[in-house]
Amino acid sequence: MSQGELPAGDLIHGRGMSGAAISRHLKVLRQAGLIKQRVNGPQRLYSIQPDGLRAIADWTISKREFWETSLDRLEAAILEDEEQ
Amino acid sequence: MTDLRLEREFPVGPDKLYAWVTNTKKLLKWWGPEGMHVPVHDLDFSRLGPWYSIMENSEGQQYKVSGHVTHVDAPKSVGFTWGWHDDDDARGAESHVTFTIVATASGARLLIDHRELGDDEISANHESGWTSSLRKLSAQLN
Repeated sequence: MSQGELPAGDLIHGRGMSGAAISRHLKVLRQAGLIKQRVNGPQRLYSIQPDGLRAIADWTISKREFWETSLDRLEAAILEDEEQ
Repeated sequence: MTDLRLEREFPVGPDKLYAWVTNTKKLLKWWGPEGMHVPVHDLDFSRLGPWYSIMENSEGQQYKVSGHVTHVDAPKSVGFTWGWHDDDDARGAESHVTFTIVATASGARLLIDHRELGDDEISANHESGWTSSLRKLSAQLN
């Protein structure tokens, strides 16, 4: 979907998942505002909602990421301080 | 209820390590991922009461997190609540962080525990936060 809109059928190929499973995943992503669905006759077309994805990236730094990177900096700061 | 524990050992004694994780000036030297700075803050874990920090990356994107310092036991441990704010400044789910310092043969070890809170714990923590705010208020008034 990074290349643009895709029909649900194309999303199933090569995923090793059933059509029903894929469609459940798509429904969750749609409800979360991460993808958009457009109905075109018998086809359902899916595309990415950039705003939704950006909102997640913007204000979540995972706890692990926060503390691990902070600990690295703490270690560097303490070692520097001890050398002086 | 996702729990996270991180541990790291440092070549300094418990008192010194405690200062590094509670003192504003020292906290600001390591608080947050590399590349972030903290232009606005009330970051002091050496006393009970509210805290917050607004981190900013090189693109100007801001990340605000706030909470209450709920216990202070120098030089062994501090505990505080934690909640991210979104773009509209709405505070998200509350979790709890504890720093524990343990003396080792060559220095001291820092344990960071970050736990999600259940409803009961959230109300208990809010209560202790409010209790300490009220205590300060009554000290002002007396």
